[in-house]
Amino acid sequence: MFVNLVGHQGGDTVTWQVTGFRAWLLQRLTAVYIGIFMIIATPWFFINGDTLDYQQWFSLLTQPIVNVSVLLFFYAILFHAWVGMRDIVIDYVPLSSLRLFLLVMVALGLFVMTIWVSLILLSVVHL
Amino acid sequence: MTDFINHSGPRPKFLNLFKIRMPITAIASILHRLSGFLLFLLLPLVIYGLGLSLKNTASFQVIHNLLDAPIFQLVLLIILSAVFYHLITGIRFLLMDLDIGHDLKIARASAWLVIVLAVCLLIWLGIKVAIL
Repeated sequence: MFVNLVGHQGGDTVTWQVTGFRAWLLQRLTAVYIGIFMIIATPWFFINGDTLDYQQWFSLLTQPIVNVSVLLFFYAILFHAWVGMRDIVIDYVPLSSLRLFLLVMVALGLFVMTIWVSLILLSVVHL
Repeated sequence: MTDFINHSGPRPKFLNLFKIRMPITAIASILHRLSGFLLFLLLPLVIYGLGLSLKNTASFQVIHNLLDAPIFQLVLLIILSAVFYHLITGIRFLLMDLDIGHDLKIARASAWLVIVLAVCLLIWLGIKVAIL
């Protein structure tokens, strides 16, 4: 599949940027992590959600493995969302000034959310 | 992929959704985008909720009660259906990237399958929410 996507011009040297290969790969890798995380986390919530109290929830997220994997989950979503939103904007917004504006707004929003979720999750662990 | 991607002409190419014929595979695809866009918009709410749930006992209880409230369960149902639709069709796209189910006939069938599967999951979740 990689050969198909990169070498579509038959022997040409095609850079990643031209094909969007890097974005494509980033979206797929993050998708796999998000998918695995969801498949584990969703049943857990269905089983434990009702009886969960603050202490349990807090101490769960204090555990370094849980904390880091949740943080990575959000980072994966934010990167995944960037590629997806970028695709959407590029595909449907032909007006270049509006396109640039929307891309900047999306990037800014995702950047703020990255800092925000980092602060939330890192404030829980006492290093 | 080589055969149907034409890289000639000006780039980027802009797509006018109203001028594109929409077979079932395209509908499955556009719904994937739509659900992804919806989830992007909901992301700040999820992060805000995560923050509240970890802040203190009182704010945790606010989130816990909110998740139990019948009206919010409906909102949750919409969110979860978007999540699961995005996940199921996403798995389909990942398989296609691995050249599995790339054949048009199979692609059409799997497009139907993921949509039906998502609707079934939505109904199951709806029943679960209604009972609880």
